[in-house]
Amino acid sequence: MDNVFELQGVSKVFSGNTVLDDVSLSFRRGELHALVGENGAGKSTLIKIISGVYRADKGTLLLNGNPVKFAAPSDAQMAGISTLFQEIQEIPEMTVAENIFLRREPRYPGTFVVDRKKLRRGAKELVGRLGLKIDTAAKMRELPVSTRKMVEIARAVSQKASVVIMDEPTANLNAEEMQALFHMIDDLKNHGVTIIYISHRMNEVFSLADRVSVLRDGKLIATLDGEECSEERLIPLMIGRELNALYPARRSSVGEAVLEVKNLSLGRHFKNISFTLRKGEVLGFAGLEASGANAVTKTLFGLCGRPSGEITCGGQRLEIKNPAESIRNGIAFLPEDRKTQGLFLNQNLVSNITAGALDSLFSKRSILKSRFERSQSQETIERLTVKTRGLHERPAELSGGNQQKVMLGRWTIGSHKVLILEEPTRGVDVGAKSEIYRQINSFAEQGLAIILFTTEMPELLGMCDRVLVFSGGALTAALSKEEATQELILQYALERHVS
Amino acid sequence: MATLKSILPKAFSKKRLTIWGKEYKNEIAIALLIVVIFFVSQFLSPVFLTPNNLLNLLRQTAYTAIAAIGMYFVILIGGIDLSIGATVQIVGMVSIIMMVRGVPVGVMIPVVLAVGLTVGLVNGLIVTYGRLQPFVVTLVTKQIMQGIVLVTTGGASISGDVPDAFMKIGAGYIGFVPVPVVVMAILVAAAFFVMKKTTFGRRLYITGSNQTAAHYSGTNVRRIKVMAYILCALFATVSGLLSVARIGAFQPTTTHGGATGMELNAIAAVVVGGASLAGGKGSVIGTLLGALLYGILSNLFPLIGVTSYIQQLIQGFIILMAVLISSKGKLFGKKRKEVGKDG
Repeated sequence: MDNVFELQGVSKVFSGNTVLDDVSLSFRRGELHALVGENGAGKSTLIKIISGVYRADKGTLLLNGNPVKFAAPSDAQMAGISTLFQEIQEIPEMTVAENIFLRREPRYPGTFVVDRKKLRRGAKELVGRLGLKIDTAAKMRELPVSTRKMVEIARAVSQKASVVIMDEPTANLNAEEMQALFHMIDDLKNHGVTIIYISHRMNEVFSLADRVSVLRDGKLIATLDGEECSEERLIPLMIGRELNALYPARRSSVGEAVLEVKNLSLGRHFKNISFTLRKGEVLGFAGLEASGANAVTKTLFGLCGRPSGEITCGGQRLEIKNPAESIRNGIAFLPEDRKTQGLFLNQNLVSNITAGALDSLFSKRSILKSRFERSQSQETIERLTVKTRGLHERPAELSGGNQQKVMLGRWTIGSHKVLILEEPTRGVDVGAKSEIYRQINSFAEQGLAIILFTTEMPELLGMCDRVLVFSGGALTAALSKEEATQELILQYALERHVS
Repeated sequence: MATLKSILPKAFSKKRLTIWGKEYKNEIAIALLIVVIFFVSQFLSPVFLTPNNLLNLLRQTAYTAIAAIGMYFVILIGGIDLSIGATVQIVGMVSIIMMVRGVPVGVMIPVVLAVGLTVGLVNGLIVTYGRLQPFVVTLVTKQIMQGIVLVTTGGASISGDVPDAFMKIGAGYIGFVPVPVVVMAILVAAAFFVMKKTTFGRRLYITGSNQTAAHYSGTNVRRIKVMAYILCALFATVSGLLSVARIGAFQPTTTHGGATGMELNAIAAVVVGGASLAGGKGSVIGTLLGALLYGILSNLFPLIGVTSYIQQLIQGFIILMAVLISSKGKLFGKKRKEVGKDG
């Protein structure tokens, strides 16, 4: 076999925890090899070893049959292994072109002076060749997340690597950009480049992968050919047990109206949005980028300034001002990015869990009720099955799925009426996903009204009682659970309203 | 047979102690360093460990420690205040001018506190609503205040009749403890309580840790930030009043209490105490210990014949050491823990 890269008996231990246990894997030339497994299965550690971020405690790495040792990520890059990490690594104050050629800028021969003309031309060519529509002279910070991600991908791809590692590359991308990415992947494969691909999105894995390796608890469980893969086959391997239906049944009855929105408009973001959210209901918000779906959820929580129109919550007219006011009025909000918007990574779990109800529940005349805080936090992490060594731990020390549960836990405390969820399962493994879905169901069963904004189609179809579809800042459809299909949602999401 | 383990109450179980040890690592490290210095000092100087000198040391420390606690609030939210030295100068000037003109102490003190509050409010408002870097803002307000002092005084010192009652604050004792030390103890205790037990303290921590997340979970981030700057200026004001009360006159150029360098001493104390300039990390006790370490060195060195020139040098190195130990740097102890993010 034509193996480009091989791992032999690789192990890694972090402070007593075996994260990788004697893993042997080979990657063939020109194949897309997907790595799947729950959070904590060892995927990230594995690719960090391959890309030179970590060093293996035991075992060898073979590149084209020769043993290699990477002391730093730059070594791996020099050896032709380019990595696209989950977190965007760009420098926001630099232009797209500068970011693409970061640390390998073209220079005037024999000098240290960057040849800016060549740099700009090179970037333009590359972006054109990849079929992307990106202004290479724009500063990174001016671009939306998904475009930044595409730049990052272009950078990784342009490094003339023999192995490209992609960790959750589609996490922030819209449908169009995803197509562009898959195009690039095909192109790379045709040029004999090996791709190591990590994704929690099973349908991506099924449609792209030539081979799939399953990791669980740091061990390699199996490597399958792409054709043999199916959800029924992979998921039991990943979690080591049968997973009951991913979207568990909900026993909630939809009750009276809780949130009534009439003719809500905000600048150029959305216009004349009206809908009613009922007790015990899970209402899906669907739409492509800039459709207004996400702007409406953010606005309802007071993050986008004052909209025009009328909002009543529990019979009371609401003045949207700021998050503090919205929380006081019974609206809770789970933001999409847990690290930058949700969690206090270096504060203990108690601070993280009680932050949303400091005034209403956990203090009396501004004095904290420490014991009550601790008992409620303990109860919350148990109820949400957060894997942790105790309340003194900080979210920075937890895995992605557990971080997400902690953030969700913050809003399970207190008497909210409306819970707005933004991408509640982004970057979270199957096991944690189903846990989060069960939680959402139990909120609904307790009578909470839930808005679920997600870009994951199966989630919309599996979880929502109704789906509101947005396009071009207008509400284009309200579909019931029975009516909603993937095709229909997409159709309405693409419908542009000219107003 | 009763082992040590079985005798110890549950509160001192090994697990609790390790958690506690990890949480208060910096504080413990500095406390140990201070103990070592105390131990070594008895061989170096016969004077250092006498009760008189120790009380004197505490008095010297009090001015810095009070200012440092104020600075701690600002550093905790990820800010910085370079204007506290100048605040101390303004406070000194205003208080002496008022007293020389016969304004009673009971009126002077509230007025001076109001001046301090205004300085903090202005700093805080410019930082939050003007969306400017705190470094720049407080550098500018520092300059402006120093300018005001020089214009008002013409660079000349002010002295005259200062009420005895006021001088008692600086030079007096309660029991055998100097008044500034008592004030320091009260303020430290108050700050400790606020940080541990109040929603305001918690909001300072979470705002420093992640502003966006604090905003999203219902904290009025701007108000918290402005409050931190106000507290910082108020603590500096108290520190300034105490040092004026020691001297009883105002000198704009030499600046009592080392006012011009004061912000740097205060920042150093906070950082040595384990706080991070990035915000969200640090404790009141750590800050106090940091200021104490600073005070001990300044007190000990002259006693053992170290000239002030070398003193600066050694102090610099000790601060560097303390900061290296308290940060998780690679130079000391264990390597930074690699956190396996999600496997």
